[in-house]
Amino acid sequence: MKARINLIWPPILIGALFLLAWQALVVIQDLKPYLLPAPSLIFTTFTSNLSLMVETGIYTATTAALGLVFGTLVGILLAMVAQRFFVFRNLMIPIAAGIAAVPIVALTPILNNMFDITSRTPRVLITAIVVFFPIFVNVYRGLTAVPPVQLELLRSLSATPRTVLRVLRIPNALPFFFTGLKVAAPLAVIAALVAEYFGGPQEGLGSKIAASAANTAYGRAWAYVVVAIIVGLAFYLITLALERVATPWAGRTRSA
Amino acid sequence: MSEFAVHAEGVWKVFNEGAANEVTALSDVSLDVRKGEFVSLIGPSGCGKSTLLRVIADLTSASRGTVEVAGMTPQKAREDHQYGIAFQQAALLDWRTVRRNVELPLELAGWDKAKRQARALELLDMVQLHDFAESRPWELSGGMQQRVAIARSLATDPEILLMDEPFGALDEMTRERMQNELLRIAGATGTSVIFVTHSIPEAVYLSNRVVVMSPRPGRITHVVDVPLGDRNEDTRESDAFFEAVTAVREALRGRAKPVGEGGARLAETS
Amino acid sequence: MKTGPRGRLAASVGVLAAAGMVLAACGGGSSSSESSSAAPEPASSSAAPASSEAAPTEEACTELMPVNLQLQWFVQAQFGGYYAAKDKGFYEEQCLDVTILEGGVDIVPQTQLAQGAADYAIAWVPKALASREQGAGIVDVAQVFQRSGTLQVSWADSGISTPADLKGKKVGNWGFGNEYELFAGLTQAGLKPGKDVELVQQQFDMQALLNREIDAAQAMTYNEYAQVLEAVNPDTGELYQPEDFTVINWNDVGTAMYQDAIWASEERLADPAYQEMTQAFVTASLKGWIYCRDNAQECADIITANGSKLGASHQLWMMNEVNKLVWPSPLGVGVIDPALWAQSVTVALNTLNADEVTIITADPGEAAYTNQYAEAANAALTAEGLDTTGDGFAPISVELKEGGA
Repeated sequence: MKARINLIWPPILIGALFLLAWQALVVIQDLKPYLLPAPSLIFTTFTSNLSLMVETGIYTATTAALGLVFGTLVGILLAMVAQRFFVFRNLMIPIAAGIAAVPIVALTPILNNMFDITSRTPRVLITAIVVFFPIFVNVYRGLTAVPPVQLELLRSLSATPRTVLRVLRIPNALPFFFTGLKVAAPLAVIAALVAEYFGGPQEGLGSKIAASAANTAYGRAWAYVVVAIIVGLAFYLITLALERVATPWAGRTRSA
Repeated sequence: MSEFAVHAEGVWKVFNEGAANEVTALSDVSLDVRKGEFVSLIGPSGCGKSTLLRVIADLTSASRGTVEVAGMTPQKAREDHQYGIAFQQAALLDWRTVRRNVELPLELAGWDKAKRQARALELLDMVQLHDFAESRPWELSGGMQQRVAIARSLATDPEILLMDEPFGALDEMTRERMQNELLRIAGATGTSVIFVTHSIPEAVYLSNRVVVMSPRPGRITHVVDVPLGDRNEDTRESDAFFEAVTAVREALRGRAKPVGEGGARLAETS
Repeated sequence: MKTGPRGRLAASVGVLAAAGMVLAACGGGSSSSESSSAAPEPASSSAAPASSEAAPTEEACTELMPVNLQLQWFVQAQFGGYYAAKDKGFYEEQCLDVTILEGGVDIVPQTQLAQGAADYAIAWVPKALASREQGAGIVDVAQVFQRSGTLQVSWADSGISTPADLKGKKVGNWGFGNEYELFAGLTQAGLKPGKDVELVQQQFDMQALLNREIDAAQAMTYNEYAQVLEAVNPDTGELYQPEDFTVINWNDVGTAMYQDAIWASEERLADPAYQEMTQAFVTASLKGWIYCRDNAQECADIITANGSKLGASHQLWMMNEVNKLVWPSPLGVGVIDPALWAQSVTVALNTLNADEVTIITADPGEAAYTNQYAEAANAALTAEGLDTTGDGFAPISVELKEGGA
């Protein structure tokens, strides 16, 4: 227990000091809100609009979650195909890398025009595309980076490729998958948020942050940013918890 | 010829045949292993001992020659689970308990759950790891993991055990303990064992015969009989043991009279 | 792979950084509080006294004063007067060397002004008042657009002709602070913008309306409205006609607010040199607007020459429609009507935005605007023989081509 407390208090202390310094800066320099709002202003805005903050956060979180699930499923599926079929792998990897390079900023308006802008669809698609690459790359690695001795063992036991996949590759890939998911989950929140910037229903964090900033209501904008941070953290922590449950062996010294 | 556990005749294995980096890992290798016999393969790196083991295991195929394992082709033997195999790494699956690791061959052979579990516990008993059945591999020491690997290799009660330097990563004391374990188990089950090793005392202690191999090209040069009878704690300090060790060492150094072209027939003994 | 609180800190910093990037992208301004030192030095001896005199016309001008003007959007006929003033030498006449800075999605002109990155900014009154309330020291020195150009456009068959008809509909708007008149109209009709209508943020095109994904779209008379009239009706093979649509005009509804105005820095207006510069700038700019009233096609061409990618017919349409917003100016071009100002303030005080917060919370008071410079400019321009009220102004007729070509 003491060890855990020793892990927790330094970041909290640093966070608190940072906020104090920020507050002091605003007060001492008499900075106007339109330049830099004080943490105290952000806090009061946040608490006096709590239900709105929560609602908005949930909206974006839902988009992010849908995109995360969709992108993850596609990533896993294609990674399995790429592992199994040589030809497909040489095709998939460059395409996946190409997709990863297209920025959200360019793709979102295009998807907004292709699909119903009043629906969640374009944003979920963008999120899924962003999520796809880390999942695909990591699951692919996990499926293929099996120790050769284990593959030989399975061969000696006369295992079919399907059996090898089920018994060996997939469990081996789980820690890799979670590595990818830990990257993808906060990324999904960011992607959903940024996609909201470009049009569509205005109930989400991205829209509200942009609207508040355009109205020079930066205290409000930062309050929404705090919500975004909380949502991103929540996604990350849930992923961590899932990882701990699903792969208790990960991180231990590998068996000989 | 099915009185032999393994019958290999005129086996060649050439890698990258015809190319600039062509390597003859096995050249005209012949070897017969009787049922219940313990045979070691020993030699310097590149002599083909591991390759020969893998040809027998159908993990790689011979370029030329005949191989029969338990009276059938290596492929059929592999598909019928006629042999068990253990490597230098224990290769236990981290996400399975010790017991479920031992159950692996049985799962793949289609055994039902209750039978698998019972057999696994039986095997763990045999290697004296019954208490660790529900532990995870990383909780075990190297020697214990190897014992689990051996238990696993015996899961389907195979006629033949193939082992590729399984004790190579262990310290000397553990090694000697494991050698005793292995002899005990193999003796109890009547399993034929083909054992690849770098260690002369280990080969002598364990085997009925020690097959000495030599590289470039990989071939059998000598077969040394080891008439030591039942092993006990005094064996390692006996004169007969020392003589056998010397014989093997001389063979390795190329000073003993080599066996003729065509490898080691059962009829020829040194 | 233990990640513990350190991993969480890293994650939170990461999300903070990313969110901060989004926010910075929205905000556009830097967070330094120093103003740029664009303080003007009068070239030679300052023969003209500080404020309310006529701008010097015969003064020997050896060194032009550099001036930065921050526009609210990209170069287009909406800002015709300023480009005309530059192109026709009116700024030079006033001894000014004006650099026109284009705006964009993320640029908040009044923030640029308040931070000193620009000497003057074009901004809509409600957005500027919101900034002012947040501490940006800015003053409206010339109200160029005398009426609002915002429309809410629907299909004629949708049955939407008043704000009350928007209840339960998918209502498009651009966000970014452009939506207040719509929100005011909704509020006036007894609707809550965040709850009683489905708000959808449009992209800066009319696709969502044309695809019937939304029921009503926000449009400026001079820009997006033309876009629908430049689109081909698949049923007829011809361009859409005005009869195909209904529009809600906020001037008629009574919730219109003042739009494009020239804003100056409040702090610097205490400085006589800046006052002089402001007077010169306002006079020349208004002269440019007079020019564009009388020479719409030429102004449209000047805009195109300055880099606007809009098609020729669209540009001319825009110039013409903008002229309709500027002229007639009953009190004189650029002069603020206190009654209309009061209306803008009232709407801003009482309009709930999507978060159910009003644009401003307090009356900005008299200090937020001044007619001093506009009236002086009017006097000077009238003395030159120019018509500063445009009483007889008649818009031209513009034929749009497909795509605005």
